[in-house]
Amino acid sequence: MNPKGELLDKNGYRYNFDRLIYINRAAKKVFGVTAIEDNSVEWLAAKMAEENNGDWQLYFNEPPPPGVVRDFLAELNGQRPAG
Amino acid sequence: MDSARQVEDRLRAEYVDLVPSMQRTLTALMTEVNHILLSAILTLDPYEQIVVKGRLKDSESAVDALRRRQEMGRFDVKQGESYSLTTLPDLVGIRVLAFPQRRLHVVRRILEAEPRLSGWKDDHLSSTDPTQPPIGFKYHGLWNTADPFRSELQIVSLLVGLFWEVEHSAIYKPTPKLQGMASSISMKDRNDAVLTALQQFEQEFDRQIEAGD
Repeated sequence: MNPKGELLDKNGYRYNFDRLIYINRAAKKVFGVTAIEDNSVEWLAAKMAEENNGDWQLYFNEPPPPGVVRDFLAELNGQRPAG
Repeated sequence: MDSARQVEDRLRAEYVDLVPSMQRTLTALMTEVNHILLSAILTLDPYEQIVVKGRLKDSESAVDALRRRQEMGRFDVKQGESYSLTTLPDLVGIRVLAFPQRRLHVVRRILEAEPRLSGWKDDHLSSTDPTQPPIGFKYHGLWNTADPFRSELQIVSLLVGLFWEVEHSAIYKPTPKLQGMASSISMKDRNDAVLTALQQFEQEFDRQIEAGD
């Protein structure tokens, strides 16, 4: 298996094919697939190990627009997204 | 404020405006690529094939492809006006399928010598095995300088091209949302394994022909 895939799997990340992200709800971390592709396995491991202050941590090549993030978090919390 | 639906509807309207020029470019590309390859096609052995196929990306596929290019797979409704289908590299697509592998390289040499393709950007499909040649050859550019969109030319082996067609018609055409599945790391691994197997099958076919009486 691809070492990045193995690392994601081992650390409890699940792929969301609609959002094109890997997400771990317990760790409150989200990785975009392009960021994973464009960075090394060491980068991925370091970001997974980063301390989390309780807010969701998002790792993307380009920061997603605030409205998109807001809708995503609302979805996670079972609320109806805006728009 | 726009909703995501309004952004998509604006893109669908843009698609309708683009269709006439997309159709003209598709006709021109199909005709001219067939013409450029005619001498190679006429000299094929009976078991060999060079097939030129063309398609316009359909409206929903185009909108969905642009959506998947955004971080988190969503349009930013505040930037709704800034999205355009013309940023996609493959609204018009031509795929040249060749069998066996040595014909793939003949096609590549002929098309890469075509002056109208000289300014096109290549974006080849690498094999995961660095010792293997690329799975296929892709080029993006403007066939007509007046086109507001880029076209894509692919040169791939017949077996790989037919695998993609089966995969698309069996999985993604009926359920476009599943396109995102192909971007997962584990699916990419499986996909690479299939493509490498097909490539090796073709290489062995070539070898048997070369080695045979």
